[in-house]
Amino acid sequence: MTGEPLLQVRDLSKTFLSRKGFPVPKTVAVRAVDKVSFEVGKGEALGVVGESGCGKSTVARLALRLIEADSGDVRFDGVDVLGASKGDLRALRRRMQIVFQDPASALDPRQRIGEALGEALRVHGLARGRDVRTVVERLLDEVGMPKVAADRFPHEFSGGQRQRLGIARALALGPDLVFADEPVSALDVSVQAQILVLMERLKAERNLAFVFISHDLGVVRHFCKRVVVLYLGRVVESGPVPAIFDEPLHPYAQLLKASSPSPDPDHAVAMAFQEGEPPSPVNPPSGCHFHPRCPFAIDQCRTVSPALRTAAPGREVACHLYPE
Amino acid sequence: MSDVAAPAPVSLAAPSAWRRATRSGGLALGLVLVVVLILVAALAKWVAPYDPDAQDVMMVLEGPASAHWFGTDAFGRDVLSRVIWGARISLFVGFVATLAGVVFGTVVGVISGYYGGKIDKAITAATDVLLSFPQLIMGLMLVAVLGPSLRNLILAIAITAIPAFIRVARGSTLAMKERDFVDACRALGYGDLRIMFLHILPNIMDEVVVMASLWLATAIRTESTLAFIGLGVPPPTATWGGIVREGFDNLLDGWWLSVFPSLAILLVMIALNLIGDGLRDATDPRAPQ
Repeated sequence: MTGEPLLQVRDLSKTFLSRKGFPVPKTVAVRAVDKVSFEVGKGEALGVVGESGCGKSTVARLALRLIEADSGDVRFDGVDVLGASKGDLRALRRRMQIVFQDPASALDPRQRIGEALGEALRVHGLARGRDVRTVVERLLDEVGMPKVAADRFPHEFSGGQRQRLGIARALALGPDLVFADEPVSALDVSVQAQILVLMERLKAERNLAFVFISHDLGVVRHFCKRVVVLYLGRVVESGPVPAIFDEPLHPYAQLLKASSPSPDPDHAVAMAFQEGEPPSPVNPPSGCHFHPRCPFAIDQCRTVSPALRTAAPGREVACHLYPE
Repeated sequence: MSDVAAPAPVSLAAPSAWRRATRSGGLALGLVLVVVLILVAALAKWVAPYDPDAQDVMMVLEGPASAHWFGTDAFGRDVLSRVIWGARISLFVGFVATLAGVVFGTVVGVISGYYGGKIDKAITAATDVLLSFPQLIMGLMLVAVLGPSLRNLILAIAITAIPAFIRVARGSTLAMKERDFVDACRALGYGDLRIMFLHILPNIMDEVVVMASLWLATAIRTESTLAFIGLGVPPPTATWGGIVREGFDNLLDGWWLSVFPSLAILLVMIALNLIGDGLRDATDPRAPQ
C-alpha cells in the first residue's frame, strides 16, 4: 500500500443490547464487533471473511454510520467519519456506498429505476432537468443494462439484473469506495460470475476500492488482494490473499481453508478439527473465542485473549501459537 | 360494468392483483354501490322527490305508496327525500372524519415506527390508552364534552380513528424499515422526511387503504349511532341516525319510519366491507388464489 490509506478503521466496537425474558426481562449484550481494525487503499479490494453472525455486515454498517458505533475510529481520506457532522456526513456519503446481499429488498418496489437513480443525483445536485436522464442512462449502460430499464419497476427484473441496478445506484454519486455486503451470495452461480466480472471492470475503470464481505473463499480469492478473517466479532488474521489462502496461520483460518471445497479430487481434505457450530455471540467463550473448537488450544487460550501481532510483513495474526 | 376491465393500476405490485380482486365481484359491486350512493347524495336536490323538511299535514304517517315510496313521517315529511338528504350528512361526516384520522394517524405511525426509541414508546403508550376505550364510548365522550355540532362530530369520529391508523402505519413501517432499500436511502444521504414519506409511505399504503375502507364503515356507523342517541347533528337536519331516532317514537304506527334509513345504513356497511375485503384480498400475497 502506498501513502495514506483511503479507509482506516481502528478498534471499531459495537455491542447490541436487547431485553429478553419473562416475567423479569434481562438485558442481553451481544458484542457484534470487538476492536476491529483494517485499512483499505485507493482502488484496492479488501476481503472480509468469516462465518455468518461473525459481524461482517455490522462492520460495513458501522463504517457507513448506518448504525452508530460504540467506540473506535473510522477515517475516510483523513476525515473522521464517526465524529462527522450531518453536513460532513452527507459529503462523505457521496464517496462511500454499499451494495446489498439481497437484491430483492435493496430496491424500493414502488419506484421506477430511473426515478431511483435520478433521485440520488438530484438530492446531491449532481444533475438537473434533462441531464438526469442522460446520466441515468449512462449509469445503466455502465452496469450492462438497457436504457429502457429506467422506466421499469424492480419486480420486472431478475435477481442478477437487480444486483446490477443496485450497483448502478451505488455508483450514481461517483464513490471512491464501495462496501459489497455478500453481493453475489443470493445469486445463481452463473450470474455470480457475471456480477464479479462487472465489479472487476468497475474496479479497474473507476479505480474503485472495495470492501468485499463474503463467506465464499473462492470468490474472495478471485476478487481481493488482501483479506481480513473475522471470528465472533474479532479479527483473527489479516494479510495478502495468497499467503492466507495457501498457508493460513490462525487455526480458524486453517479450518476455513480445509472446509472450503477444492476442485482437485485427489487433494485430501485434512479435517483435524472438531466439528461444531460457532459458539453464541451472546455468551462467547473466555480467552480466545476459538479455543473450544481449536485442536491446538493450550491453557493460555482459555484465559487470555490473544492480541493481534505481526507475523510477517503485512501479515497479522491473533493466536498464542505464534509468539512474537 | 365496463369500468371493471379498466387497465390495472401500476402501483399494485402484481399485475394480477386487480383481476384477482374483481374475480369474485365483491370489490366491483361494493364500488358500484358506493359510487351510486355518493351520486344520489350529491345530486339530492334533483334526485329527491320532495323537500326533506316540507311538512304536509294531510299526509301524516302514510305507509309506502306510489306518491311516497318510503312513506311519510309524523310531520308528513317524505321519508325517501329525508333518507336521500340524510346520506349527504352521513357520508360527508364519514369521509371527512376517516380522511382526517387516516392522514394524522398514518403520519404519526410512520414517524413512531421510523424513529423508534423514546418517541415510539410514548406514542405507542398513548395509542394503547386510546384503544382501550371502546370506539363508540370514546366518540360519545368526545361529543358530550365538545357539544353536538357537525364540526365536533367530525372531530370526535376522527379522533377515534387515529389510534387504529397509528398502529397499522407503525407496524408496517417497522417491517419496511428492515428492508435494505431503507439503508440504501440513508447511505445515499437522504433526509429522514424523504425516506419516511417518499419511500416508506408509498410501500405501506396498501395496508392503510384497506384499513381506511373498513374504517369508513365504522365512522358512518358511529355517526348514525351518535345521531340516534341524540348526539349527532341537531334536528331538523336529516341524518340517517336521526331519522331512525325520529321514527322510533312512532314505530308501532309506522314501521317504515325507521326501517328505510336503517336499510340505507346497512347498504353502505355492506358496500364498504365488500370494498375492504376485496382490497385486502387484492393486496395480500398470502390470500388464496
